[in-house]
Amino acid sequence: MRSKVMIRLIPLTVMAILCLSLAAQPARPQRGSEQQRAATATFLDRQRPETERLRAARLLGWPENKTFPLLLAVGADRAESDAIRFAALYHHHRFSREWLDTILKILDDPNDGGAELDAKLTEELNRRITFRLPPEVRQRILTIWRKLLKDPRDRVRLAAFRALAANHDAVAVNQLDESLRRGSGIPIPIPDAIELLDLNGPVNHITALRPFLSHRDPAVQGRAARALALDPESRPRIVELATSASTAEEVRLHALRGLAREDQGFAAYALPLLENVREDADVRFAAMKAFVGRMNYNSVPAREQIRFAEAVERFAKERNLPPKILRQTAETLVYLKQGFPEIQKHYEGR
Amino acid sequence: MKRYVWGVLFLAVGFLAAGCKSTMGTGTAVFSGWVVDQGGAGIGNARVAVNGKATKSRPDGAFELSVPGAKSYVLNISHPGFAGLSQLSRKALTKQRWRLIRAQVETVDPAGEITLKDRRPEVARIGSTRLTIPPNSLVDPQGNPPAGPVRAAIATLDVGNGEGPRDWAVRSDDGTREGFLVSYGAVFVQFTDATGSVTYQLKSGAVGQISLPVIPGMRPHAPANPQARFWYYDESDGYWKHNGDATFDAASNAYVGTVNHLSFINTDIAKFDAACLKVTLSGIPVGHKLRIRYHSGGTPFGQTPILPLDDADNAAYRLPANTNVLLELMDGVTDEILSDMIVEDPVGNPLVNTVVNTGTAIPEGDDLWPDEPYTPCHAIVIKQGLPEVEIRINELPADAFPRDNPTDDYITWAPTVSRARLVTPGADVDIVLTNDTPGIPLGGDVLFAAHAEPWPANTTATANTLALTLPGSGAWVPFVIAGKHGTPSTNDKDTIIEAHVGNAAGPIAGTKALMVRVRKNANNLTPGERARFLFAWRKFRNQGGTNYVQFQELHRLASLAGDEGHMQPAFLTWHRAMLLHVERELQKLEPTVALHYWDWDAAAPNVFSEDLIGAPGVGGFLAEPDFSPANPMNGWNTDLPFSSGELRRSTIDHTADPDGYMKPLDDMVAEWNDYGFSSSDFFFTDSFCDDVERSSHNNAHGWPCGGGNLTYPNRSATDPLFYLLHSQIDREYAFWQRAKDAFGLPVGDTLTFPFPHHYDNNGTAAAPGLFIPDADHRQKGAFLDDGLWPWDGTTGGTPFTVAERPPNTTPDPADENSPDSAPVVPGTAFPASVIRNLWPAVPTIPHNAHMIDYLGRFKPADGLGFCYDDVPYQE
Repeated sequence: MRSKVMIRLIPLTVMAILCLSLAAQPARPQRGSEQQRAATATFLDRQRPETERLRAARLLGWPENKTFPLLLAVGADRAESDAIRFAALYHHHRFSREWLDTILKILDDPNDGGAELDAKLTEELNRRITFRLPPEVRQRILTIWRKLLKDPRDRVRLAAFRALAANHDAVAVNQLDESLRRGSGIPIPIPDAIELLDLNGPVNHITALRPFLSHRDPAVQGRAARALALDPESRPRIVELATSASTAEEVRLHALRGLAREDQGFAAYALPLLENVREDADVRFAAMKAFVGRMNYNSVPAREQIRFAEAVERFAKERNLPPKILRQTAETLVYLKQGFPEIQKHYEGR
Repeated sequence: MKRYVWGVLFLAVGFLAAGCKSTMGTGTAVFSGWVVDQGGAGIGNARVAVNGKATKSRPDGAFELSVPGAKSYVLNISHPGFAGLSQLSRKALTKQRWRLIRAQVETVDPAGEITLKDRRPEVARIGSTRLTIPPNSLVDPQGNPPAGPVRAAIATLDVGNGEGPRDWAVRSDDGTREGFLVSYGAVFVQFTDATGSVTYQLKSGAVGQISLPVIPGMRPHAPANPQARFWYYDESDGYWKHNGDATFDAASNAYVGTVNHLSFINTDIAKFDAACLKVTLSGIPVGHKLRIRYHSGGTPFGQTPILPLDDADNAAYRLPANTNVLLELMDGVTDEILSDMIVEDPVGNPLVNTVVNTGTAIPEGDDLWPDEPYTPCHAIVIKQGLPEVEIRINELPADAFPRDNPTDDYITWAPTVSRARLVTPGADVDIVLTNDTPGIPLGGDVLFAAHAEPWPANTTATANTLALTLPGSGAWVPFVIAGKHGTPSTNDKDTIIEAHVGNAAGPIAGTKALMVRVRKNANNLTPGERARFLFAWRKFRNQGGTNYVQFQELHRLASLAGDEGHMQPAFLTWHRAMLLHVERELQKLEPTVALHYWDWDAAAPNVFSEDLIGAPGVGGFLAEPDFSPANPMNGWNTDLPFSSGELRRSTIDHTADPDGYMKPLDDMVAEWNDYGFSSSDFFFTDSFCDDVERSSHNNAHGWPCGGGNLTYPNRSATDPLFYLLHSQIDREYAFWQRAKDAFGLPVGDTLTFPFPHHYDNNGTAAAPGLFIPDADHRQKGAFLDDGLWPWDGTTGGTPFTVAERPPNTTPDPADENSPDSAPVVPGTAFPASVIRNLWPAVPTIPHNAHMIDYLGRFKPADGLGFCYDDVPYQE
């Protein structure tokens, strides 16, 4: 009995400590302030313990100009730990030529840095290459990332595929598409591969994605259902997945979200789902949310709107719903009455 | 003790004596006032007589006359060339302006038949009187005929509008009963010698033939009284006397018959159920007049007595009993109707529309002229109501808009011309404008300033109150307002300007609701502000015509080669123009919204929340942000081709403080004095513009979205977060402008924008000699006077740009990045501002130059109509 109580208390304690540590996070120092300089000195001091240096890194803010070369030096220093090196390069917020050269040099050298450093630098670089990046610079980056597509380290490979797919890189996208079609040699976890093809534009990858609609792993099946909702041929199967109580909840939620965007006949099964008190509350809530989303940006017949509003009204009055669902359902009813003239008229007339 | 008693007695005697002097039946009564014509000009040399004692008015029309005290007084005023005027009174009258009606005057021969016909212009409205008298009918008071030609004056009187004798007293034929007349029409006729000193009458036995028109208000009643009487007014006692019989002639709409006496002649039915009104003034100064219109079912009838209000208590006698009368307060000087009168019964209940019932008749045999305290009279109290003040925002003094335009009642920190006036003409009114409305805790505030033309540069309103004198003519008086920094509005029209009469604590005579509309930190929006903001985006996304998708397409195309919007000095001005256009489109749908900003110099958990721009999505690398079901952005569709339309952002926690990932604003402001010429070198930063774009803007596009749509210029504007982000960028620009006083052309050694210069599509300098830029910058858009694409309609291909921009009306369906729906921005010019007095007054091609002075510091009409909550106009 006592151990059960302890088991329950442990997560709570961890959460409380986490909350306290977040709350205790000091305010961001001003640039050039004593606080920032002290944090910089601590971070750059190799004699200090790593944990102390990493804590100091969070107070670096936007570094002073003189600090940037020092951060680059730490980032390039193989004697430093990967965590320290990444912190140095992350907090070098200026996108300078020197910073880019340092990053690319690390990524280009399989012996420089571990998987975590290479993966995180790839992700960070992907966040920084925005807007009018000179073509020759972009090409340098893409070339190195493409090399990483064959990196033996899963984490690095995944980061490279993500970065390239986000940039609509044909090499990476085609590699994913072909591997999914083959069903073998898929270079990254299948859910991630499907996500990236979805990101690239699912219209171009329907054939590659269809088989995964029947995959046993809900993470795979769910992502496939969401991505393929725009495929008329796949849609009946996705509707089946969305409405069947035997489908994993994760799959149903993805399916509903995708179908709400694409299926003109969404009301035909989404409304009964919402109205069915024996259905899972999370699924009903997902159906409700997806239906409002559809109403926001699509034309929905007035009678469907009104039926939906009445279903939401009943849903909001049900007992034993999780508090968040209860609150957001009540808010949704208010929103429907305010935001949709047909519903407004209907309730005014009652 | 003895001394005290004597003192009291002395005071009492003194008081009585003073009272007797003017009002009692003993002692002396002093009449004074002015004789004026219909235009208000003084009439000199008018004869003013009271109870037989006379004086002449001075050249300015003023007179003063002392007469022995009496129970009642008959005041008669005459002047050759004018119709006479007569007033019965219980008291001495001292404050009045007596307005005489100009008569038609001609010289006639009394030896022949005389026919007088009133031909004055006024008769077109009331009808013309015609009088014929036989030859040799006139005699002087001694019975002698005139020695030669005589002077004849005639004036048909508009008794329905108060002209003619002020009293309508009659006695019954047997002289036993007092009564009153209800007039059907009247005329003033007088024959005098050339000087006006001798008045002639009809000799005994002579009669004149008269046709006296019925006044408009009595025309419906005249046929019912085919037989009536003519009456003449006896100036000696103030009574109307029988003068002959009259017959109604429907053809001429007049009563016709004979008269035997000439003065005021009146067609009337005598009545004997008279009532009276006791009129007590409360807060109304003596000297005004009360016009009393008889009403029957809302239709005026009969004459309109005018009661001089010369005392705190006044009485109007011989009114028809049980009759509604409409009371109108007339200015004592101008005779204009003052609309601000309130009539109450004695216990303070207001009477609707100032209509009063005269009440029951005074019992037969009682005095129809009861003395103070006028006990038998129906008592009313009249009060000075408040003048009505109208206030309009964003209108120039000379504007001639008949109606207020509520869509322009939105202001910023910038000075805004407004104006106020009295709705109904009357006396001048001093008002004080305030803006301290209790009960609206989150309401905005404004400050005031007196108007100046031209408005001084770099000046805004700073006073908490403003005193104005509104002329009685109703003319507009301009003034200036500005939002009070630190207290913007939170709701539509929650800022109330009040016009107080007299002083800031005086009664409120008018109010104006407006909104101090500013761009705010989106992290701090109230639920109402958030809801309106989000609804507006939904509407903008869904509507036909100019809509959200067109602007995301605009940004995509702008980011192609020949980009004016990035990597050159127009980065800030071009985006300012785009944001302004979008903001104005949003405001057409929801006028309370502004483009609120995401301030990344601190954590913004309420921005990246499911209730605003979306909480970070869950799972994977990029995910759809999480919106609450009741968020209008739930289901947002990016309209990107080949995609499901889902928004995609990074799944990292955006609610945390970015910890300086974007360069803090203060650092950029401290670091750079130069706006900068910019450089196409991506890594080169040596100015404010460069630094904002590279260190703040670029990082902000990546931080929440690394790899998501917001990261890339061709897709970034598909995410509504784009606008919160760019509003912050523009805020940084505004912040820097204020810190560096950089709102115009060269300020000291600092240019607020690269050189005044124009570069056309061919790479040719339009103003050679001013400045020849290096090849890097020899492209359109980099100079102050360059037009901005797409509003200028140019395509921009030059030897120095890589490719042409597309024309601004044609999408490129072959381009896979082109969205499903279509064009960029319809039309070719930046649309005119809905709010008058803001740039542009008419559709205009915007230049970089137009985007700099956003507060209109040099010229308010160049202002763009937006500002930021924490960037004040002044300290």
